[in-house]
Amino acid sequence: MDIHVGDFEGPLDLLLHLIAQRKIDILDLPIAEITGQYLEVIRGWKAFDMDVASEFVLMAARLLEIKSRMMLPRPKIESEEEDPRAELAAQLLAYAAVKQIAVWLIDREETEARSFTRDPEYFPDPGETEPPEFELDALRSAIRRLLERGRDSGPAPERIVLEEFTVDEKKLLLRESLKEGGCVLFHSLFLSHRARSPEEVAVTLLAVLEMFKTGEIDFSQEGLHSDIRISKREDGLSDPGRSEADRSA
Amino acid sequence: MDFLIRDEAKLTGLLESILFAAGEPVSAADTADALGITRETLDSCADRLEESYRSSERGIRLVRTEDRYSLSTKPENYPQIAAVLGRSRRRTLTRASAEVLAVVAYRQPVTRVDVDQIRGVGSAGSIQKLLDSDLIEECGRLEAPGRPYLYRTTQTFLINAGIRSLEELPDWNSFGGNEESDDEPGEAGTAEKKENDLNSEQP
Repeated sequence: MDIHVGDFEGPLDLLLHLIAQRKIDILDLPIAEITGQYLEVIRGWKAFDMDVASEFVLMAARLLEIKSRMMLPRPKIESEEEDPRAELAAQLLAYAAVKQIAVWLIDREETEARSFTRDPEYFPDPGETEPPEFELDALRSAIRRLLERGRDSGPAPERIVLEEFTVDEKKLLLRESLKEGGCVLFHSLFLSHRARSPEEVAVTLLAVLEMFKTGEIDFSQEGLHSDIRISKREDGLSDPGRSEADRSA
Repeated sequence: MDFLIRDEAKLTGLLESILFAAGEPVSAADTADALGITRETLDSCADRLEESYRSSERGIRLVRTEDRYSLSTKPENYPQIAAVLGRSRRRTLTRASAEVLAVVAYRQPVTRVDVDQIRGVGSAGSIQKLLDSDLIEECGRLEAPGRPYLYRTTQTFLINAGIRSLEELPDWNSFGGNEESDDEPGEAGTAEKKENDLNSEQP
């Protein structure tokens, strides 16, 4: 008998093969005969994948169990007990159907795969994905305005003093302001007396972002493009950066 | 809508334009709504379109998938299309994965263990392949020990099999299995309905 483990999807497949060869009725399996043939086949597979093997061996054990139950004399009380082969027979019939449906599905796929479709056209959702009206010039002039505030604050200094701004220092300042007013407008942080140079603007921004990240402050806005209000977060930790700021001061 | 049109011939052309522009299956209900016409009118336009495609002068066919319409090329033209465009289509189903798909299609929603049990072999690999190719999808978990995933077939499956809905699957019994003959595949119903039933009615 020249059949290989790879020819079968599993033990049920092998059993169906053996049954088909002999034209046996699945509902009335000659269990001793089938078990013998089944064992003969899998013994012939000297070396095969253990994962696959375990499934085939399990079925062998099941067949032997059914065979032994068939041979036992059945006491009268158990006469209404169902045929020990019934469960296996039902499983074989179901699997036989699955095999045929699989062939049908492959056939359908083969036909349908001969039909081409276009790729879907991409239409952005106008409601959600369109960015708000926005002009690049507006952004550019806003930055320029911000930076020029520092420049206009007086004549150029005769001596250049090394300016030192630390993020911690800016955080400390913001914390002080929040303690007084409860709420600070974002743009006010960049007024000329608070941020004199691009570096200072940048450091202030970093401080704000860091405080937001640590959950110390909250942002709110009344509408699109309106000024951002900074407030102390209600449930925020009280001054988590205090000691750190003190150290650097 | 200000472009309300009653001429069915014109509407049929419109439907064709819409389907061509979309490329993917288009909801019939949405289309009827947008055009300000009834579903009956739209369906009758779809029938007209389908009919006009039957002529061998046309290389397109109308595909109906559940409540959606789409266009695709006629399968019989495949060799020439493939030759001219240098394109070919790959089959995704193997014997093992087709068996798993068969079980899912007829018994959905099912768990992996259900599939293993019916096939008598482990099916995890095939299930993953079918998930990857979008032929099946997860649809919740079974409220049982281990809360295993439940699987069902997708719209891609219907397109792949060239059927309009699960009701068009051939009768399980016609394939020679007589197990659970009361469990008709037609009863699988729509995927949405199944999902709603999942958490409450699992055995």
